[in-house]
Amino acid sequence: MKEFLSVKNLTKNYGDFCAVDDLSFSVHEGEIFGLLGPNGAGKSTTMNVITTLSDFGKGTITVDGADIIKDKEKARRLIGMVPQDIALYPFLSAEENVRFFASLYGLRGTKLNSAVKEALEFVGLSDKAKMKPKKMSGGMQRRLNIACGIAHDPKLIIMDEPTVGVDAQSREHILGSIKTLRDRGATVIYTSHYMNEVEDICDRILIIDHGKSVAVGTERELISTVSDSKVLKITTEIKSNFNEKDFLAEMSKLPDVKKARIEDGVIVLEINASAKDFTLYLEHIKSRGLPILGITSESMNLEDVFIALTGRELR
Amino acid sequence: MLQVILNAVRSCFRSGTTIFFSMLFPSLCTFFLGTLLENIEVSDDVVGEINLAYCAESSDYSANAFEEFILSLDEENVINAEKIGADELESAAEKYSAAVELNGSEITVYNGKNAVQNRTVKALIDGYNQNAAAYAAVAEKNPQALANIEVTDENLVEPKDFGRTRTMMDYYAVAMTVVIIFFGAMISGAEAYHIEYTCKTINRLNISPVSRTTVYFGKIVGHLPLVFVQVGVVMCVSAAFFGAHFCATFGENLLLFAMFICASLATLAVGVCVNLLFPKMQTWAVLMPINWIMLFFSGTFQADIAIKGVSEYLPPNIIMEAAFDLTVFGRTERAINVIIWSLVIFAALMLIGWIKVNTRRKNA
Repeated sequence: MKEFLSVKNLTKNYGDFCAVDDLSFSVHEGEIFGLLGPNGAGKSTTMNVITTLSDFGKGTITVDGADIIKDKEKARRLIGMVPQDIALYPFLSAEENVRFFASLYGLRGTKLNSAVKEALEFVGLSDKAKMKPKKMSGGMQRRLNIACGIAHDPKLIIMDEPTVGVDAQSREHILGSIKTLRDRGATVIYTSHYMNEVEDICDRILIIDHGKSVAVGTERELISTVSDSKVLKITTEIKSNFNEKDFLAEMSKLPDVKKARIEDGVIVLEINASAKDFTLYLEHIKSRGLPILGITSESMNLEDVFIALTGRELR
Repeated sequence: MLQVILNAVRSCFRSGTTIFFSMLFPSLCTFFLGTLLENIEVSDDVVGEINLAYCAESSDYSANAFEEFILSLDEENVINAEKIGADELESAAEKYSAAVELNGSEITVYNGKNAVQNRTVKALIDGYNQNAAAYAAVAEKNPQALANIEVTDENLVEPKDFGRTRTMMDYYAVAMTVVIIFFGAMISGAEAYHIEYTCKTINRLNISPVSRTTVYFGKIVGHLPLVFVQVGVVMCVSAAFFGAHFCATFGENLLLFAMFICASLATLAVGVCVNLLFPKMQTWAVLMPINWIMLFFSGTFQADIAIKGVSEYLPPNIIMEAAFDLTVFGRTERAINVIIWSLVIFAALMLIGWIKVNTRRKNA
């Protein structure tokens, strides 16, 4: 996969405070790249630097080969930003807002008209083109905010919590739109406080803390860096004269089982994350005369990984 | 740049608040202040027409001089003079406003029924008397000096007729245009960048390929139509709807308009600069009180309010004085000075603003 964004040894200080410390990562073309970190971890600073909003002390950043310092204008043309705050002019209609921001990127005439139309269609606001932002719902404003950031067809889209404070329907629409952008070939850097969103749409994830890279990879790769286990819970009915000790000793000897225990009538098996076939365990339980009343499998999720790596919750 | 300009124009003209406070409000103020305060210029007492009877029966030098003085007043329509005989003096008060008699070196004033007219006649005669006394004193001590006086036709007091009476409406038409220069132009300048911060669009502008210089000058140019419209509307509405008068000639009116526009550019630049230097601050909230105080002590709202030694240095007062010099006396010098200084201030502040927008924090 082609490397579209390259960040090498990025360092950014605010006086004596080091906001980003020798950070390096790369984003592949056509992927949704999640950027996670606790508050003050350096996410916003990193994004500000990539969008050329802030200067930085050391390091090099290239967007599709264009150095953001030496070839700033070219780099800027490749980047689209969807800020966390609703950044719209209240005195302009939806269409005029999109038109203005797209025109800053040199689009004119029919090209501009079709870009505006396409962007509004993309976020599902074609029928609200003449409406002013203040008359729109929060979700619609968010979608318009996205339209303004993508109308000029950027190759790298940076989205900073684009779903904050929106209803479930708008969130689904926005997340679906981001996947569509990826499918059309755009590269997306995505930050969110909602872990399930990151799990849902990001191809790879970078976790940063104290301005440094903590871990990077796919969701599965990140989980495996923290734990290679998952938990299988089998609900059954255990009689009073049942020999739990022998049963658990037998269960522990089965393939991929690391530990076995019984908690309140539930058999808890800690097994290898790679284990996929549970029939052997179920047959063994049945052979001991225990009925299978229910089965649940719990893997570690991104939130567990995040807490494990940073020692903090995302919020 | 065109898109930035158009956007700035839209931001100005699509704001109901801007339209109201920068155009409608000053026009209404001209009307209300001009109408309601019209009574202020009505004097407490009216002198009215003075019919003065005079009696100077001797034919010496002083009697001739006195008669000449009375007739000159008559010629200039200050009074209506009529010569009467000494026997008519006692009954003159019935027929005339007052009567005066020159008897040797003494002047006797016979008061009429109207106290105001009596005071006026007394003031005229006192003036003549003091002049005559001074002449007599010089004649006694240094007659040669009088002989050396060159008598010319030059009239040191020349009344000028502008063909109309100046009214409070005329005063407030100028004063409210000055108000709009400080409120409308300066505040809209202060909003130029502030709106980007409140709408959170500043970062979108800053990461676009359009340079900060282009955005900066685009915004300034985009605010110019508002400046022209503000001044134009207040002047035109005052003249067309409320009957206010500005200058006597088209050329002078053009110069007056140019002066107001240049002054507006300077105040616009002040607003922009203050906003750029303190971007997070509510600029208008800081500038408004300062403007109110300056305008108040410049006599903008009431001509008599002033602080000696301070008011004459306040920018609104300087602009108003230049405007009145042009509208009342047709003198252009002060207006031209205001134009030059306004353009110098505008250019200097534009430069400071340009340096500011292109200076980014370097945190290595």
